[in-house]
Amino acid sequence: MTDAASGASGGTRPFWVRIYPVVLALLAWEALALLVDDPLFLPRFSSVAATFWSMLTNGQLLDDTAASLSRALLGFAVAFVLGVPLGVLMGWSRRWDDFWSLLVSFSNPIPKIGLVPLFLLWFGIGEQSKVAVIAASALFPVLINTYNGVRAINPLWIWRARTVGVGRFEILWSVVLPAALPSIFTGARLGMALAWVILLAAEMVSARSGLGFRILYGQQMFETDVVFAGLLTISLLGFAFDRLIIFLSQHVCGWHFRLGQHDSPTERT
Amino acid sequence: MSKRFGTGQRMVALDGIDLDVRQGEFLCLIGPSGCGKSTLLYMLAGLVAPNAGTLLMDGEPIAGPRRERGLVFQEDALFPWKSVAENIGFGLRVRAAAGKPEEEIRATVSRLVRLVGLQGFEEARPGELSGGMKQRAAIAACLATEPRVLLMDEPFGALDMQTRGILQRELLQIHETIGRTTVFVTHDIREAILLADRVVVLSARPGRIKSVLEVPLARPRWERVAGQKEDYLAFEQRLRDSMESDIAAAADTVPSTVVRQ
Repeated sequence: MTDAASGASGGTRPFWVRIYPVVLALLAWEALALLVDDPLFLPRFSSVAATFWSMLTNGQLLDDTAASLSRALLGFAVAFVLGVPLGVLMGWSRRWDDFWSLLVSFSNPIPKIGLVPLFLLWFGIGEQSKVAVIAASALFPVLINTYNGVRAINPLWIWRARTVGVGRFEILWSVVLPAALPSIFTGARLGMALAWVILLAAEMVSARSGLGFRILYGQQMFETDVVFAGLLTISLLGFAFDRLIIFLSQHVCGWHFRLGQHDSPTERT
Repeated sequence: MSKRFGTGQRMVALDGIDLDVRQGEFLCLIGPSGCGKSTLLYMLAGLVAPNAGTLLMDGEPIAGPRRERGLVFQEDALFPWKSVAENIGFGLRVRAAAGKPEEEIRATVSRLVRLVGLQGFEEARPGELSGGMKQRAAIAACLATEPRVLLMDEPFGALDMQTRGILQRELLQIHETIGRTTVFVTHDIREAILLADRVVVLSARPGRIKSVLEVPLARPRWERVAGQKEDYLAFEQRLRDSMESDIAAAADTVPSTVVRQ
């Protein structure tokens, strides 16, 4: 339990064991760029880092990040607020399941990026269309994982609660929700990851700000280092939010996410 | 107090069960795997409805689960997200407990923790406990709501011999001090003899009552059953004879239907 903050698969292993491959990759990038010697094709990591720093200090990167972040978080929040209750109700009530299951199954495989043109027609070029497409994407992992979490509840837990007189609605928040919480967190992780992907795509199609716009703009201006700096920012943001969700899940459902690590049946070398 | 059963004949069901459980007695249901003894227990709990016939408690039909009938499950049914103390106190904090004062709940929980010998593990999660400790916690959690009837579904079935012996003795002690009506399902003849006032032998599918035998051993038994060895052995033979004819039965049928609204 000492490794609570060190990530999902980290265990108690020292930090450098996992950080040095990243350093190696960056060095390889630098070397390759020197070899290629064409900054338009592949700028050196050091010049990308410099561009990143100057974009950061002149405020441009912060503005773009703020624009992207607010879209991603708003879209994710909408997905979460809709997906969790619907997933719980579908998992819990056969009537809700019957009503929604085919609707969900048919709309899940639609590539949500394909909704961008539609949402542009509906909501115009403003924030709504981008938030809507992010929400539509993140909704499904959140919903489906919540549903699966509820369906996988040990029936004995339900019976145990019922024998001490827990009623139909009380059982939802006293047993069903806490039991499904690990799956809800898994859904949130997947949904959040998908939100970044869709965000970028949506911003490239229609935006005057944001990281997706910045990357596309860099390409149009033949500033490859700006493209890389934008990608780097996205990578850092996605990583940070993934870690945040892992951190939250380990603190809110430590019983599930922490215990497992220690009695893993497969001992790795 | 009386309970009556009479259940219809679906495929794996119990057939023509007619049984009275006496107030304060320890009744064991014994029978081969798949005879429906667990189903019978879940019917008593009100979690499974009979296809025909009625179950009565104090003359009232059993229509659903009630706090006055506590259940201990075959396998660990503790909530893994709650600590031992929270699991034991769960039934006292639900709405049906009608806002019991927190101090009272804490006092009850610590009394029960001592009763089942889990001192020092109050804050542990079920995932950190051994099988025996989990079942101790499950028994304590069941006792917390002070049910008038205890229903136990092979609570020691998954434990090693030694732990099982210890817990059997502790259960005897609890029963002989609080003296509460208990219906206990097992397929272990010795467990039945050690614990029960009466043993109900069920036949293999369809489950029917083959015999109801009074255990001729004096109480309290939790200190020693020695000195009654003759009686013990003679009774064990009677019970074995009663069970022998159809002990070869098929797979266990644990009710595993996922419960939905």
